[in-house]
Amino acid sequence: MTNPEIKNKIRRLRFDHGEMTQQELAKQAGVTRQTIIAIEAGKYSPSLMLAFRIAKIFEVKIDEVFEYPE
Amino acid sequence: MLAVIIISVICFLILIPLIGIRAAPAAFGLIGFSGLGHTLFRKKHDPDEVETDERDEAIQKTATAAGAWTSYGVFVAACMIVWEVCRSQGQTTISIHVLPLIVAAGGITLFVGRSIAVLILYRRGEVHDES
Repeated sequence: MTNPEIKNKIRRLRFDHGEMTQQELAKQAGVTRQTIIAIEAGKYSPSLMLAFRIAKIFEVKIDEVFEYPE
Repeated sequence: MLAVIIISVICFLILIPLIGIRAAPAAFGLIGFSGLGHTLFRKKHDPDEVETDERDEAIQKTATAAGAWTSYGVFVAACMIVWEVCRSQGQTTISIHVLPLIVAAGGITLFVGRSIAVLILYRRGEVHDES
């Protein structure tokens, strides 16, 4: 079974939150900048914990950050 | 690392006329000192900087599995090849020196396969954390 590609709005949310850089988001989320880059590009699906941490950083619900395709 | 390799090559070239071409490759043992570079030239650690995260661990896990399966395949193939060669030549015994070579081939394949998998996975970036 292939994993469906989960879309995300991290890039837009970063710019909406004071033009946060990838490095700043990575630092707050406790991951490397390369991981944030991979997540934004849709090449890496984060763990549930990381997804919740990112949503908490942007102060939104998790489904406002990540979108599961129908 | 690069400096150590360059020094090793220079020593190799110097040793050729001194001890001969067959013994001169011993100069490449100096490359072992490159392992000290991480200790001697360590950059100042930023406590806020994350060195490895879940994605790195997922890549390491996937690469190790890929290396292990490749190593297993090479090990089985090597055993089958030795068996077929001995069978076709009518031999009922195998030289004792064959077994460590087969084990070494499997071990080398494990590390090489894992290294290649790490490079490919970091290049593609397509890893899924299944934790």
